[in-house]
Amino acid sequence: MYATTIHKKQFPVQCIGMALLLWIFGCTEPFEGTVEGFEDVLVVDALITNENKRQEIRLTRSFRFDEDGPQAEENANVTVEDGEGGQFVFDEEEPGIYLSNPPFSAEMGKAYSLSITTEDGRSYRSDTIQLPTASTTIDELYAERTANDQGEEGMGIFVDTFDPSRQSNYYRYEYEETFKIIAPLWGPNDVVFIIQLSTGPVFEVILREREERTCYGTDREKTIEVVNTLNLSEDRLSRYPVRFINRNNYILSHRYSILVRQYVQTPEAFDYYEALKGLSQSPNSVFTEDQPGFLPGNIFSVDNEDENIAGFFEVAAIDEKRIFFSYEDFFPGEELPPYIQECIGSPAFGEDLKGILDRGNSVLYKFDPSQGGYLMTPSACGDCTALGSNKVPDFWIE
Amino acid sequence: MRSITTIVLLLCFTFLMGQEEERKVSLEIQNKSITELLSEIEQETDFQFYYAEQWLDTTALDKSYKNESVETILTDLFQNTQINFFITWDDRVILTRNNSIYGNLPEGFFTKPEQVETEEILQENVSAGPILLGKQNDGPDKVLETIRIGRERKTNRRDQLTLSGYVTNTSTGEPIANLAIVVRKLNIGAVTDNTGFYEIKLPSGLNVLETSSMGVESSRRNVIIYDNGKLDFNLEENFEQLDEVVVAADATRNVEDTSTGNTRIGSEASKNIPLVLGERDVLKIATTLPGVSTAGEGSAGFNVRGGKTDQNLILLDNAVIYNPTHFFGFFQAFNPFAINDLNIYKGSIPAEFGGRLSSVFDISSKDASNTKFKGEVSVGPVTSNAVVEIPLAQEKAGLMVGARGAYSDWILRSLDEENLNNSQASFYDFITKYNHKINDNNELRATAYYTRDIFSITSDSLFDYSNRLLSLQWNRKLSEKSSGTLMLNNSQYKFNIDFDGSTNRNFEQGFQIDETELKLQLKYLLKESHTIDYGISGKLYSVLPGEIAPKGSNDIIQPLAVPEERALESALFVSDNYKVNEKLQLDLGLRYSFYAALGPSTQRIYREGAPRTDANVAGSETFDNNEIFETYGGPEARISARYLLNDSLSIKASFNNTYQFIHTLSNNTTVSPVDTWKLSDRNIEPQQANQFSLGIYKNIKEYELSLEGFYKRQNNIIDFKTGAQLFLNENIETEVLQGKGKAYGVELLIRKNRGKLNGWLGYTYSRSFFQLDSEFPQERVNDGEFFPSNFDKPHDLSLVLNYKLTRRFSFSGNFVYQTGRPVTFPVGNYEFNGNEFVLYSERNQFRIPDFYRLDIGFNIEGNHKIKKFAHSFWTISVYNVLGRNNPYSVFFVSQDGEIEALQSSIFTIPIPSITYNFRF
Repeated sequence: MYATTIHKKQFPVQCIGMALLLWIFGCTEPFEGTVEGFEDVLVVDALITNENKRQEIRLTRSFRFDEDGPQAEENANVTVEDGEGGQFVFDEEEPGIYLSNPPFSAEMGKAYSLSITTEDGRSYRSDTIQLPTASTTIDELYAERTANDQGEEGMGIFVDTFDPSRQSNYYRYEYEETFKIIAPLWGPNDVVFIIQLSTGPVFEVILREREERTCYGTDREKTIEVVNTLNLSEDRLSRYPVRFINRNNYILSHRYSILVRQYVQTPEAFDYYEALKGLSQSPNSVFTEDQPGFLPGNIFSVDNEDENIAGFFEVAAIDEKRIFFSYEDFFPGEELPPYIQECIGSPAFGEDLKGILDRGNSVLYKFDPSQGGYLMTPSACGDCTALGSNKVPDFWIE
Repeated sequence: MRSITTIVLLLCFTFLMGQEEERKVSLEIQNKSITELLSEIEQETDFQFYYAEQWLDTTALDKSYKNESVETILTDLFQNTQINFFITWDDRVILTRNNSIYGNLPEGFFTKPEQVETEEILQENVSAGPILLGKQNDGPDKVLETIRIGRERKTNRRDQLTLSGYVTNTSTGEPIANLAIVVRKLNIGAVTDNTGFYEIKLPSGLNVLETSSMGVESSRRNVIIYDNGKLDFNLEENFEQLDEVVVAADATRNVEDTSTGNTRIGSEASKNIPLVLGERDVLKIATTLPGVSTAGEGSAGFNVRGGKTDQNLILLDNAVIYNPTHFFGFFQAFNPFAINDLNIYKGSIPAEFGGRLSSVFDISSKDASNTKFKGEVSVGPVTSNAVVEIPLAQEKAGLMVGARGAYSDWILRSLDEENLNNSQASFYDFITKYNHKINDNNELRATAYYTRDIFSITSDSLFDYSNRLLSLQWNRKLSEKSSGTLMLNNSQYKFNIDFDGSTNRNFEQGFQIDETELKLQLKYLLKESHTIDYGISGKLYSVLPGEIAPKGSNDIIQPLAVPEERALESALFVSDNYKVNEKLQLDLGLRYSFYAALGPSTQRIYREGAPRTDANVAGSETFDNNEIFETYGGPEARISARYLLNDSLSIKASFNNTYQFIHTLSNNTTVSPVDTWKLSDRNIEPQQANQFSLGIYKNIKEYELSLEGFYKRQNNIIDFKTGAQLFLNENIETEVLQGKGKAYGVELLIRKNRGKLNGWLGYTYSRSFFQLDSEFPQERVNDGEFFPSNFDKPHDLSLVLNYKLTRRFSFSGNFVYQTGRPVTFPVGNYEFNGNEFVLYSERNQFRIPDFYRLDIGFNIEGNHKIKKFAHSFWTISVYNVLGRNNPYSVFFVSQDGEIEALQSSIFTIPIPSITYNFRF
């Protein structure tokens, strides 16, 4: 058995206020009990699209709360059949990552199914699933300066899409955002420790060897974004908000780009994602609580009915679009958002400086004997590689 | 005053017999009151004393008697007081103040009973002038009254005689319902019905009849009965007595009633239970009884014997009330002053009730006084309420009007918490009842009731729900042996959500259910041993399952209204209360329920052998207006039996079978105001339950004990797939799972109804399981095995105690303990689609921590001057004295890829409150 206790910061004041206040809001605080038990299950992450490419299927195992990430399910036989005799074999390119060989794209009218045989001989099959629509298009992807429902000001990223044939209905969005970072306290030099003498440590100021001033940070969506158009008069989404960035977020500071992927899902896949979203979100009040439970997907064990398999085998239509904008485009002449953290240079010498260098979380801002020598600053302030990559992405347009 | 015209009649020969065996007593007392001394005599001898405590001096005495007769002792004790005493033939000692009772009657008053041969004298109610010594006192004291009914005849001696009559309120002339009339020594009793009528079987000879009920003076009468007869009681209201008897438990009802699992709660009972925010609540008391539990603190809905929260039929004056609570269950939706009583049926449900599987909560409102203007007012920290009773026609008609409101908005606004400043939460309810006694045979009652709650949790949405109820009742006495009641009831429940926040997705959405019922119920006294109840009822439902409309012209929300659903639910019922013999009594009930789903409607047809999903629709069928497109129904047995092992011990057994055609759609454990109701149709079948119960009941002195066991099976209970989308779903069957339920348990109740310390202890051990199985894995939960239901709480203990310090001060305390309810916990993480998710266990594999809570209260009565305008009392209470942080639920959220375990709780600190009440 395995046990973990999850403790978090307390909010006692809030709780008392709420209790006085009658209930409605109740009081939400970290659970102080113990959560026990661990279940080791196979996790299948399989999305086949109408894009012609080496389709990717990931096989992993569930993992304990104190582990950083999953273990790969290696050496499995993975195939997708199209119901008409066609079979696509997937090769393991990296541990747990299986790519189809050769590339293919999902086609309308074919009933795809997934079969997996793991290294220990267990077999799994999925339900058959069809491509819901031959293609889908993001008609428009645009950014606007706006306010969200909470009244915060910032940038909204919106999508318009329309399917006159009313075939699409179920949409899911993913995004990948990239933003330029300029380290505010970047200096051309760095300081290195040379030798320990009886008089104390000796340092040397050197020229930085790599680009550490301008970088590109990347992030992706943290929540599941699904929406359907069933209740709307048309199969149309207009001004659908995919992403909102508060104007005080430093990622808006210079130039920003977002790639939005639109998937048209089958009703089953949509239900699965929606349930998954419901299970992973905080309930909005004490009184609306989702019944949690193991969420079965569409993959089942051939040998043992009772075995739980997490994940889903999905066939979806995809389209993607990218846009760019700069802070100046929407906030001309206005003050930049505050940097991700406060940046100051603080003088350090001798053993102190050596300690700072050993910890490795600060860099040299500048060497200024008049101010006492080495002015050190947190890495994120003086070296942008702490936050992103110093390589200009291939797609980047200034 | 009329009641002082006391009648004292006793037969001389019996008295003389008593005197022949005069017994001697030796007593040594130090520093004891007369009361204590008298109880010592009671312990030493067979004598029993009858007196009012307030007559006796409470100063301590030192006395010593050696081998004295009781008569001598009493003469000594009372020599300088106003107290007289009288010893009856059966060693009862009746103390009176001012008046003395003579055992001897004027000569020739009676013919000697021995000489009566065949003369038939029926139902003679003999009365004679009082034989009293001393001046009559106009005060409230009563002397024991003796009533003689019939005459003793050697040839026609029957062991069991029937005494019946009406009990009315002296000052108002209204009937007094639910009054217990008992012969304590024999443990026989009867309870008056709504018209104040009672019927009691007595052995011939002398019986001491006592009456007791909340708010009515207790009275005691000697009844010498030799034939069937009639006796009416006129009783005074009595405020002083209110808090002396907490639960109006009828002394013998526990043992003698035929049915299992029934409890009556008088509205007054709730007075002595510690309150949250100063409100009396009969529904809260219900949850302290075994077998009834709430889903959580401050949550609406009850789970009765392993049943879901939608399986309780909650009636107010015969009409269904869909949401009986305000503020998500923190307050009952009834004005506490307007409620007369609440009867809970969780074991054997009478055949006249149907349509819900687990229980009936039958609440009746108060009849207005038709002689006197009266009122009751209570002022608390969050709510205030008032009821007035207005006589409209003297001794004929009265009107009761009650109103209640909450003013919590100011609390919300005055708080520092910024996100609560914009919140709003208020409620009110209104009740009015008209009662009219047209003549001796006809009576009319009409009730109107309305409740409304308005609240907003976030600044952009406003919730609003309301109950509306109308009920008309006509009682008619058809003949000496039969009577009938015709009822017309209408109920409506609706809610509305107003969302105004987003740029172009603002909306208004709502739900509404209406039902109208016509019911005729007849009672026929076939023979002495058979009482037949029968009737017919029909109910028309109309449900607007949901609609959504854009708020403004910019909003792109497409208006959608899920089409109206209609159905007719009707029933025929008959039951026979059959007294086989003295020991065995049966209640044989049969109900036939019939349900017809009415068009217009479009019903989907799903492919056989495939899971019910949108993808597996084979077609659909459309039905015209009023076309019956689906019918369900069947017989329901309501059988119970009681066997008296002796006067204070009985066993009872019952079998109960119920159908339910209407279901709530809720994926919460608790009742939420936005739960919708769904009528059975082609794809949603009615729920059905069978329950067996067996119990043993015992009265020991002032203690009432009962131990009941039950076993219940349910079919087609409604549950939902994980993360189901319920609202505005036209094809709800794609989200519904119907399965089996299984529950069993043992319930123990120990009650003490009298004395300075009174209260009860309820303990339940019970289990409740569901099974959701299907040939399709997606429609299976926990591999199709039985799993503990959301409200499976094996141990449930409630202790309610009152201690009366003095006449004016009393303490009350209330302790609750429950096993934590089952929950589903995470058992790991997994990565999917680039994000980390929680892997949950099988459903309900774990439990939240146990629940316990202690509340205390303190009542201060105003003084008891007779001529005072109003009677008042203060209630001070502290809810959750221990400050226990009882988790209401535990849930897990993944935030920025991290899993966090959170618990939500309602009251985490002690909540004090103070309420001022008065009545006039």
